[in-house]
Amino acid sequence: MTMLLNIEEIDVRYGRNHAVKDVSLNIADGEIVTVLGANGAGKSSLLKAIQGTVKSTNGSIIFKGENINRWSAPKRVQSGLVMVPEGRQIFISMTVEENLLMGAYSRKNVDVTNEIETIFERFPNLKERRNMSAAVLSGGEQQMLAISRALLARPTVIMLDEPSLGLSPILVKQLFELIKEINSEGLSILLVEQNTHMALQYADRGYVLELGNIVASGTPADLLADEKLAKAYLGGD
Amino acid sequence: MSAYMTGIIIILCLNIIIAYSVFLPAAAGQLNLGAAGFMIIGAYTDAYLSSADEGLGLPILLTIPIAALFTGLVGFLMSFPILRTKGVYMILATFAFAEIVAGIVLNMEIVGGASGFPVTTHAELEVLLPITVGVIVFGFYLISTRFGLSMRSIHDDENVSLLFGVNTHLVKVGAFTIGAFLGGLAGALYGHQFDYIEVQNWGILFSIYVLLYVLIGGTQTPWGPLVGAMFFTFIPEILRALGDATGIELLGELRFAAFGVIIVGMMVLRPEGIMTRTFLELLFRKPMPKSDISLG
Repeated sequence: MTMLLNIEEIDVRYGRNHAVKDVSLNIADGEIVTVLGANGAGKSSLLKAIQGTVKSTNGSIIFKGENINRWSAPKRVQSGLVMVPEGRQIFISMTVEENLLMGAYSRKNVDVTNEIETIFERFPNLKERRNMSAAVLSGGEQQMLAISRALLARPTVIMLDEPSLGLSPILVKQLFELIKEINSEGLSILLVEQNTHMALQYADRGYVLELGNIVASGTPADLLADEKLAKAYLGGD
Repeated sequence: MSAYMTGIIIILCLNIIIAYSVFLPAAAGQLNLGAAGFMIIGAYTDAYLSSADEGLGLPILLTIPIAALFTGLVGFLMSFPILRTKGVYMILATFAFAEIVAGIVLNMEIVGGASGFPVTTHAELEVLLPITVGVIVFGFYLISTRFGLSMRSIHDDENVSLLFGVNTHLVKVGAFTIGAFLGGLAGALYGHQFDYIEVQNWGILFSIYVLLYVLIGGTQTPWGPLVGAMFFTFIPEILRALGDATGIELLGELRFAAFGVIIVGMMVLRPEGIMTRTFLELLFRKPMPKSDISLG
């Protein structure tokens, strides 16, 4: 299996705080990979290091066969590595359509009208509110806007940081169905989640992060079979 | 048109230009309390270049653009230290900048120091009006461009803008510089309307007023500075007229107190300013369906 994204032994430090320790992780083309772990395990730091908004000190990040360690965050976005940040972080004083345009910002001089129309076909709610300020959207609609905005950057890997945060159970279900749908269209997915049950239900493989270290990895079945792990992280008994 | 009406329109035009000079950086998230500083630079540069007696006597079609460009250059250079600050600290930094400019010009004998400087070339509304219209069109145009979009995205979230490929530093410097340019333009035009300039015209109160035009008008859309400048120009005059007509002292002599009450009321009732996106939708578009929660 060829690896699309290969992270080898990276570290992230904030001063004395060692948030990510010697973490290796990979994603094959077309996979959904999830990173699980408690609060403060280093999940978001890991994503930020891959995106390039936080510097990793050791190791290497290989994307499509190239070492992207020294690349800036915008350059990584242009090459197809796109993150949907935690808490959505849409541009609230801009309209729905302008938010989508911002997603395509790094693809200079490209007419994205058709792509935006495709997004609107998928999400009629967004279409109805295309000229309204994004602030009026509900939490679920904001999440689909954030994902759509990321899709307009033409990613090959989309990284989702706690997308289910603050959504009602029915919306969480719909969200994961959407992630599956995007994945079946050819995108690889790196999913950081606290909702371990849902994440393992949809992922091809998973990693468990504890205090910056990877303590387990494998298929959802493997992870769920590990009793100690199931007890500590997966809510089993 | 009566001389009174002409006078009001002149003030309105100048207020609109200076409002856009503060609005454009504000649209990119910059709170600028330095309007007075840019206006002083523009006014004095233009006055020195154009005045026949004590200056160089150049034609105003040359001196007004030069003064605006020069102010833009000063703004560009000042943007590097000033843009290191944010929010309240940026207000203080821009205020300090304006005070420094005032202090320097007050001590420059070549432009008359504290006694001010005469401007010998008078220009009527036929100069001021087209420039004002041009500035409004420019403000609307700039906001609609890719550059304008990136300004507004920085206003909302600088980090996410960077993530999607916006050169945030360049856009911030650009917005600040354009603001300085328009401030200089307003200053240069001021001199040709009132034939005399002095630093004391542009104190901290002036900068506060201009920032209020923008905040009360609203920073979300380019309608904001236009409506804000009109609001601040007309309301005191309307109160004066009402005071004269009704004989109510509060509206006449105390109209600035009444005006203050209106401003405080506005801040309480409409903290996003008069012209918000939602308000514009109400004015120009059909009502939208109510939001329901579904991922589609």
